[in-house]
Amino acid sequence: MNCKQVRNAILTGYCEGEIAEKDKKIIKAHLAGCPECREFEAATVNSVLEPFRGVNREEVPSDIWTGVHKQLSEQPAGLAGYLSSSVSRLFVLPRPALLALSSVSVCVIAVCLVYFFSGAGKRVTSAESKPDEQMQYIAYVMGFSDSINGKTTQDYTDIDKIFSQ
Amino acid sequence: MQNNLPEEVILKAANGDMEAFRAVYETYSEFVFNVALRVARYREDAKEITQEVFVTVHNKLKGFRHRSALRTWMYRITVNTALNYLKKHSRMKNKTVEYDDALGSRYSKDYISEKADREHQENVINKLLGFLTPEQRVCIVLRNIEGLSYEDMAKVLDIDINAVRSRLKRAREKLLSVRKEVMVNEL
Repeated sequence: MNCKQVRNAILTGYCEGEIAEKDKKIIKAHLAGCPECREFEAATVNSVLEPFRGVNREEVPSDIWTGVHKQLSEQPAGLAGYLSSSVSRLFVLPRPALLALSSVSVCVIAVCLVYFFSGAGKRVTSAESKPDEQMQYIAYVMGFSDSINGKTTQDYTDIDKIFSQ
Repeated sequence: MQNNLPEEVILKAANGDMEAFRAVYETYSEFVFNVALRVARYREDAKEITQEVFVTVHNKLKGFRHRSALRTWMYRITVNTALNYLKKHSRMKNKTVEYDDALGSRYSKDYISEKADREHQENVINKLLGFLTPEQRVCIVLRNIEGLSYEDMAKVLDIDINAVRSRLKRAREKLLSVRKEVMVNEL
């Protein structure tokens, strides 16, 4: 280990015992022969670690709970509360569940889109075929053809025949 | 990190039992408030952050999956709430300037004293933390004051352990450089 690596280790774990035992031995050996790194270690302990040791812990002000309680009691209840909590619960789902839910939603939307567009396509096809039917009907009425849409007059009911004459 | 509360109390609180939630508050409010205070550095801000943390905890407790300890989960909410609060209020820039101005006058003289009382230590800590960005401050608070292991810090910050080391290294380098400035001022 060179000086830079040793100093990095001093800043991130060596002085706090958060380092592998074999690395600790290597650093100790380096420090024994390097006065600059020893000085760096001392500076780290004195100005980065020591000032925070045994720091006073503040008591929690009593009015915080009052504020929490008040805010919770003012939250929307009933349907609005239920909906907002349901939505927020959705976002705390574990990632795989959220992924599965998203995939299912995407599939459902894709199927709906395919269904919608294919249905519309069929409607377009039937709309396009209408002029053909009309042409055949005109041809039949004018006597150029004896069938309408492939049906002969024998295929029609009595009422059809009345209207087709 | 272990939960200090029995599982059934947490479940009751998650199901809306206010008495159980009060027990959650009593158990965890001390560290929530102290982390908030160190990160935000002002008592009134810390009070607001603590209140916001417990409202969030109350609303999300039902979704808490027990995959991590409740304490770790609460540390995470506290850190995120504090950082968001500081971003939203964006007053820390002005506050850092205040500390920079104070550096040459009071901090160096205070720090010479070996027999520092609690108030003095508070001043030193507050001033040291004032030189850091909120994210760096969070690292120093979790490690140096709260005493979390690097592994627990990684869980709280939702980053890998090498990223924890890297953030901590930058924060400590900053503290060292500040210390050097102070030493120069003393001479």
